[in-house]
Amino acid sequence: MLWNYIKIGIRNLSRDKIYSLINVIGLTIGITAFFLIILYVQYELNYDQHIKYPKRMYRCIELQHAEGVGDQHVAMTMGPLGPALVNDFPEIQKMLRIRNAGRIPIIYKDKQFNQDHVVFADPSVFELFNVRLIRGDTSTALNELWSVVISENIAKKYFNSVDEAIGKVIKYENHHLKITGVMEDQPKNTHIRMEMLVSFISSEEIFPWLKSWGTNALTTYILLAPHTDYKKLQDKFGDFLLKYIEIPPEYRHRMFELYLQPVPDIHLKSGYIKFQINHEMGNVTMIYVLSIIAILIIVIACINFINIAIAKSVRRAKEVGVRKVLGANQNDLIRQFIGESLIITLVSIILAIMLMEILLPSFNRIIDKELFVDYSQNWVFNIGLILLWVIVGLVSGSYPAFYLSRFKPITVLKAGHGKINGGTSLLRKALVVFQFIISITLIFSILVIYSQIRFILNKDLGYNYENVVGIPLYNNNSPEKINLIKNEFLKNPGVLNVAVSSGMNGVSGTQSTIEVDDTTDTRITVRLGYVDENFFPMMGIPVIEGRNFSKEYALDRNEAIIINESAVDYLGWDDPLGKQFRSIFGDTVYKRKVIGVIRDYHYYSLRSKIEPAVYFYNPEGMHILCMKIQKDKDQETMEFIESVWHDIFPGSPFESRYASESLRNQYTDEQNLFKIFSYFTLLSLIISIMGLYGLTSFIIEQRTKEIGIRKIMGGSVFRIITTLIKEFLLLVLIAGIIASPIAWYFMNEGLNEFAYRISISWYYIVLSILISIAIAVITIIHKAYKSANSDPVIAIKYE
Amino acid sequence: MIKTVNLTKIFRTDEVETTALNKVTFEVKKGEFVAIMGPSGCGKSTLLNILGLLDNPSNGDYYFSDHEVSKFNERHRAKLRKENIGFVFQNFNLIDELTVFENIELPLIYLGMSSGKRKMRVGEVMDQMQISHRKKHFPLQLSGGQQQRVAVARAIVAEPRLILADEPTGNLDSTHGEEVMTLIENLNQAGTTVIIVTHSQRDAEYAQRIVQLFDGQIITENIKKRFI
Repeated sequence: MLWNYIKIGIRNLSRDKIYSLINVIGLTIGITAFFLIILYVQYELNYDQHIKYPKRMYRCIELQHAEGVGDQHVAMTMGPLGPALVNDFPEIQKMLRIRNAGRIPIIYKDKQFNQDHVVFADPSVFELFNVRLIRGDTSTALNELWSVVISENIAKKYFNSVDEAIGKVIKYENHHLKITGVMEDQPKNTHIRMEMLVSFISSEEIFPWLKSWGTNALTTYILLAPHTDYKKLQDKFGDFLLKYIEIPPEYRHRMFELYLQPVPDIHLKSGYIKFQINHEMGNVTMIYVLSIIAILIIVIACINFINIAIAKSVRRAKEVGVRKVLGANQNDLIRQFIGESLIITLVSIILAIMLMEILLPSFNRIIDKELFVDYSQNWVFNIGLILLWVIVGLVSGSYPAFYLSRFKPITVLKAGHGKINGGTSLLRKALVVFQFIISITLIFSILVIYSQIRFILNKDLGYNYENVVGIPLYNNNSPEKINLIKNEFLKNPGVLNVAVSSGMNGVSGTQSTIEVDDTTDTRITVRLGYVDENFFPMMGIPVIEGRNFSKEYALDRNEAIIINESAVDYLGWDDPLGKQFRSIFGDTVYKRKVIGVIRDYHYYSLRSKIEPAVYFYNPEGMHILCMKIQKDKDQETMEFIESVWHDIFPGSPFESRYASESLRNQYTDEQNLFKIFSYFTLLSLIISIMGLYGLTSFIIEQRTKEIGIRKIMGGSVFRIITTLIKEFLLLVLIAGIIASPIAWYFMNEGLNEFAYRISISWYYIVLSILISIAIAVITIIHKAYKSANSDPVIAIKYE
Repeated sequence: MIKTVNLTKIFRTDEVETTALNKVTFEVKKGEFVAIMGPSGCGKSTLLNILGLLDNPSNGDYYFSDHEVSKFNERHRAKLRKENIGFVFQNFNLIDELTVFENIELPLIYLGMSSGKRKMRVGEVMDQMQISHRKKHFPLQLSGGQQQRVAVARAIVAEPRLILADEPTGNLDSTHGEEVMTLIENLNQAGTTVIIVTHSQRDAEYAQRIVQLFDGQIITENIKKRFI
């Protein structure tokens, strides 16, 4: 019996090649897309799962009430916090402090590297982050000053082998780091990438202030005892902090609140946190969106399946009739049809797995991840696979099974085919409408996301970064050398201007609270920037009041400050020039006078509003050379620049980057989301179009006789095409009316994540509907044209 | 073997009510060969469908082997059908996707016969119908006569007690028609009860008895000389 079903299933497939192709290809593409998305989602959800106690690990977050900025969440904490937490709370078993050094220049003998992912870490890193050593001893490796543990990958890169690495000394600035261990390469799906671990006490040596309460400069992780309710623990933090941080009662409102974030939440649920180490931060909304798309794609493929099965039911009806006459009962037939769809689904799944394996490398390149399926380990995937098979097989097969098996043999064998379709056309139309709703929503979403990204990339940020190249100086920032290299660069006519600053956007990435030198203790939280006198003019940032920094004024270096409009607005100053700030560092009080106000510009991404910023003229804070170069000569100019660099800073690695590139990199998340989203949307559209093609083919096939008779009567096929198009237009319009509010709602929510966003215009929806209509019309015309050009005699013989 | 009492079938649409069969009472004995004749629309196909348990009467009783079956549900009827009745249709109604062998095999599959036995039985029937050489062909590769022979083979493969044939020669030329009628006659002579519906006087001649239907009623039940 089973073999008979399989046989007839396969023969049915090969008889209606187009329909079968639509079914199998549609399902295959759909399932492939589904697999890819599921793999991606699984990868994202598994971030930081390699650590030993993911459910007991937490990251400390501060909720700060920052004057001038508002409330902000910061995953940076103070040095003494971790030890104090362990000391005061028995339920906190261990703590780990990590200070990110980021990218630093490392020198070994004559080799130089700009090493990424260098962190200072407490020795507890081995246990808490499950870092295993290939060489060295975890109990001692990070205990000494200037001891360092490197990854296997780095060991091979620097020393060609793991064994060679142990005991070697590498140089970072003027510190000599001794390699005391080699660790296994760390997994990529972790929020903190670690290629090099430097003992934490070394960072306290470089920055003695890390030992005192006051500056948030590192991440604190804690490990709780089993079964500890972290929310109850958090409630005790308020009093705990007051024990260590002195703050007069009248300023208690300024005190930050401390709370805990579960480590597994860090990757996907940290979008609201301002300062943090979070490598390739994910977005939980994107995970939801992609999961929904994955399911939609499968649903569309299933709808195609059902639609085509209904279409084919006319042909299958006779078979059903005959089988019933010969003694098959309804259950036999239900089994048969479900069996057939299970077979088709199985074939599609097998094809999809092959296709997925073929596509994975390119997919990985697009999303910049390393996804793979380990079929022997990934049980979620394997069980999901079987579930998918059964569910898709049952859902797709159920309608034809229950519908076709109900046919009365005398009706289908005697009465001809006419009667069979009456009841199903409504369902078929509903399914078509549903498919168009999905398509229109997806097209609409693509249009909106694309426009938002274009808007962001093209928005006037308030400064002109075209043809600006940045070269990181690291510690080569002595004023003499900077002067020297500036003058050397300017000798080349391709270099139009050179400036030094703390970042290519002018600010340094750190934030500080400064006090106005008045009687009311007014405070303001600002971004700190260090720029020379060339920076604002070169970037086209106008000084709207007062003056720019200048070499002519000897006091500028220590006593001047330039602020932005936002700062002026927050402080409510009518005449900012000459106003004074003070900051206390140790026992010294520094005072700075406002000499100028610059117009606001977007130094960070458009996701956030422009915050108050202040700029200093101190060369110690300047770490990057920015220069404007002539566009058409960029290649030779860059070569010139590199050679000058090596002359002046022999032994220092050279790096350069266009400002426009760095700026664009701020939106990598959005662009990646857009890429993934549009690829899968396109796929679901293709599957929808295939379904539509199948459906119109069927409808036209049914009307072949009508077309034939019309032709014999001398009529044109124009009319039948227009009636068909009218029918579909109506369905598309209904779908458009249903889709518009849904699509608008979701996109509007999504755009709200941006501080600067486009408004959704009515023409997006009109355009989406028009595109859908175009797809429908082209399909119909293509199919009808073929049919209309066939010989009418063949057409009328068709039964 | 078959007995109907006041069998009535009424078709209703929204506005029209058509009486296809009007109190039909008649009997077919085991081993008989009966032809049902009458003009188009007189109800002969409806009668055949009810006799074949493909349709239920609106009223009246239908005894099949002394069991009243008119109220049977579909599952019951399917069982009775596959064990007792073979069908031959005017348009053959072979399944295009199955080969000759597989078409003939189908009733045996639904009877749950083992594959080995099926092979043997289908082989026998194909020999009997002289279509063994066409075993692997698909219906559309055969002539009408050959197709109908496959259909007859399929009808008898399960050795039914009753064969119902609806215009079995309607789509065939006269030579092929005669061949098929001879086949049916031979089956009858071997003991199978046969009822055919036909327009053709010549086909009806093969039967022992001709029942005339008109407007849903039996007007004659003429018993032919040969039988006496």
